[in-house]
Amino acid sequence: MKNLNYYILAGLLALVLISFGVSHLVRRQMEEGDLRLEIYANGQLYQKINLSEAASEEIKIINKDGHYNVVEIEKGRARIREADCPNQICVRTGWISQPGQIAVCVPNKFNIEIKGKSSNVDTISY
Amino acid sequence: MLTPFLTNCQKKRGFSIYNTRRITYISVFIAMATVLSIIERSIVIPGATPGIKLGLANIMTLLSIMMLGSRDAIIIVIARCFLGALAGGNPVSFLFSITGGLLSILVMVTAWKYLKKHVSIVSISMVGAVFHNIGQLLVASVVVHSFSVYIILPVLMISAIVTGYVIGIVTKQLYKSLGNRMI
Repeated sequence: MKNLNYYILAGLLALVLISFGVSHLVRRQMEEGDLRLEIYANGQLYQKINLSEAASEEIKIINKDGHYNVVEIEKGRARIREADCPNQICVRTGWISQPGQIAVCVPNKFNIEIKGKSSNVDTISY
Repeated sequence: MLTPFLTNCQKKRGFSIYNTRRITYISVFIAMATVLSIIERSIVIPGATPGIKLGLANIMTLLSIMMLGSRDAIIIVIARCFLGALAGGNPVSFLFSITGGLLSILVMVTAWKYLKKHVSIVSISMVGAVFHNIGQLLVASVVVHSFSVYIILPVLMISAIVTGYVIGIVTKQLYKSLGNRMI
C-alpha cells in the first residue's frame, strides 16, 4: 500500500462537506414562521417570544438545581446576559439576531435559539 | 529510540509487564496531560465560536500512543479527563471531555494499529481532533435535547483540522527530539 495521508485528508474534507450539508438542513428546518426567540430549559420549550415586535425586557430563569440564567431581549436580538455557570461560554456568545444562531449553557442545561425567517430585508420591489 | 525498548520487554515477558520505567512514563504523561488541559482551559480566544480549542493535551495522548502503546494511552486519557474535572471542572465538563476524549482515542488507536506504516502521526492527530469535536457535539445535542448545536459543526471541523495539523507537527518534532536524547 502506498502513502495514505492524502486519502485521509480527502476523507476529512469530505466529512467537512457533509457537515456543511447537515448544518444547512438544520438551519432550513429552523427558518419556518416568524422571527422568534425560543427559550429552552432542561430541553423543554420554556417560552416563545416574537422578536420582531418584542419590547426590551429581561427574563430570569432558575432551573431545579437553583442555577440561573438571565436572558436580555431587545427588538430583533437577544443574549444571555448573566449566568452562574462556571465557564460562561453562553455569556461570551453575545448577542444573537439571525435565524439559526444559538446560545447554549450546557452546565445549566439551558439554551436560547432564534428561529423563523430573517427580517433583514424590509421590502423587496421588482 | 523509545519504542523498541518497551516492545522488546513486552515480547519477552508478556504484554502486561509494568516495570518502573513504564510506570514512570505513564505517570509523567498523565501529569503533563492534566497540566496542559488546565492551561488550555484558561486560554480564551476572543470572538471565536464556543468549543474551538487548541487540543494541547492531545500532544501527550499522541506521544503515549507512539511510545507506550494503545492500552496505556487509553488509561492516560481517562486519568487526564478525571483529574482535569477535579481541578476546576464540573460534572458536565467531565462528561464532555471524557466522551470526546474516548471517541478520539479509540479512532486514533485503531488508525495507529492498522495503518501505522502508511499514515503519518499528523494525519492521525487531525482525525483525532475531528472525532473529538464530533463526540462533544453528540453530548451537547443529548444534553440540550436539540439538534440545533450541529449548526456549528462545519466551523468546529475546519478548526479541528487546522489545530490537529499544528498539534501533529509539534508531536512529531517532540518525538524526534526525545529520540535524539535517548530518553
